[in-house]
Amino acid sequence: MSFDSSKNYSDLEVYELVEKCQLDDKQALEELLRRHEKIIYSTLYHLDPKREDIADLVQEVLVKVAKNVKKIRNPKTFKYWLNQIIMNLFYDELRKKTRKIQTISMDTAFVNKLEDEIPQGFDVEDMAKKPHEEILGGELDEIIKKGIDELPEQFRIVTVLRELQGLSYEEIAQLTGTNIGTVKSRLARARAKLQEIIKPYLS
Amino acid sequence: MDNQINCQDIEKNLSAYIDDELNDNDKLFIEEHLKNCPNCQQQLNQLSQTISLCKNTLGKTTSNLSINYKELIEKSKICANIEEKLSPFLDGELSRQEIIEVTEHLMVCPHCRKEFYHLKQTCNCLKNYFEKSIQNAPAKTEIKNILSKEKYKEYAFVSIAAVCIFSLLSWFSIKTIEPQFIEKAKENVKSDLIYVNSEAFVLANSYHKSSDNLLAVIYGQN
Ligand SMILES: [Zn+2]
Ligand SMILES: [Zn+2]
Repeated sequence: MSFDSSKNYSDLEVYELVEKCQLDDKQALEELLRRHEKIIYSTLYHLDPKREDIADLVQEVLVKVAKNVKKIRNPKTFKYWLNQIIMNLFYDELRKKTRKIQTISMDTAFVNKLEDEIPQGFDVEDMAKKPHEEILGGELDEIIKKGIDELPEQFRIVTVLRELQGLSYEEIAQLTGTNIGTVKSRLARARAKLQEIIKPYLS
Repeated sequence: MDNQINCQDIEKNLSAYIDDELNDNDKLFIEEHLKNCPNCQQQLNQLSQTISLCKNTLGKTTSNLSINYKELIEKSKICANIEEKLSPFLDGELSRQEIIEVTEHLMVCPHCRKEFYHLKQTCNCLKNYFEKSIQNAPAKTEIKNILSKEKYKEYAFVSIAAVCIFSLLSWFSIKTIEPQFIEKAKENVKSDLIYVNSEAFVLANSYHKSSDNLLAVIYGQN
C-alpha cells in the first residue's frame, strides 16, 4: 500500500499540492512555493521593468501564498488566485510610486504612460537597421524585452498576463478592472506593436 | 546558399505560390528549389491539399471570380474586420459564430492568411521569450524561512487513525452521516476495502474538501 504522503511531490499537479497545503502539509507548501518562485519573478520583472528590488516583491508574494493558501475555495483556480496577489501587490507599489513622483514633480510623462495610447516616442527605427544580418537568439530576446518594456503600462500588463501567465481574457479583465472587449483590443494592439519590432528579425 | 534558410523562405511563400500571388522571379525561384527539396515538396502537397479541401467543402473557388473595384473595396472592408479578430481568434476567445466566420475567410483569403501567419509567428516568439525568461529567473528566496515563519505543522506521516483520534478529541463531534456517501465510497473501493468506520470517514472528509481525494487518503490508493 502506497501511502499518500510518500508520493513524489514534484510529480503532483498544482491543485493537488494546494489540496495538501490546505491539510497543513509543509512539504507540499514548499514544493508549491518553489514551483512558482521563478514565474512570479518573471511576471513582476516584466510588469515593472524599472524596478530593482524584484526579489523582495517575490518574497512578499510567496509569504502571502503561504499565509492564505488555505483560503482558496477551489484549488483548480490557483493560477488566477496567485495572479490576484501579484496584481494587487503591483498596483499597491504603483500607487506608492505615483504618489512619490507626484510629490517630487508633476511628471506628466509618467501620467501619459498610463493612458490608453501607444506613445509617439515609440521608436523602432534603430532596431530595424539590420534586418538581414543574422542575429543570435540572445539578441532577439533583448529586442523583445525592450519592446515589452516600452509598451504603455496597460498594454504591457495584458501582454504579460496573456503570453507569460496564459490567463483567459475574462480573468485578465477581472484582474485589471476592465472588460473583455478592452482586453481584446489592448492585446491585439500590443501584439501588432511587438510584431513590428520582431518582424525584421524573422528569417 | 544555405539550404535551411532557403527552406524557411520557401515555406513562407508557399501559400502565396499556390494562390499564384508571386512575381515570376519568385515563382521560378520556388520551382527551382522544389525540384531539389523533398521536404518543401511535401509541404507544398500538404498545403495545397488542405486548401483545395477547404475550398471544396465551402463550395467556393477564388480562381473564377472576376474582380472589379467594387468587389475589391468590399473585400478590404471584410479583411479589416477579420484582421481585428485574428488576435482573439488565435487565443480561442471568439464566439462560435465568429470562429466560423474567421475560419471561412482564412480559407479563401491569402492576405489574411499571411497576416495570421505573422501574428502566430510573433506570439510564438513572445512565448519562447517568456519561457526562457522564467527558466532564467533567479530562485534565491529563502523558502525554508518563509515556512518556518508560518509555523506549519507537520502532518506528513500521520496515520489515518491518528488523524481521526486527534480530530475527535480536539474539535469534532459527529451528528449525522450521509449514507449515500458511504455507499459511494464502498462502490469505488471494491476489493481492497480496508475497514473504515463512518466516523473516520466523515472526519477525514472534513479535512479533505474533495471526496475523490478523500478515498485515496483513506484507502491508500492512487
Ligand atoms: Zn526546401
Ligand atoms: Zn482577408
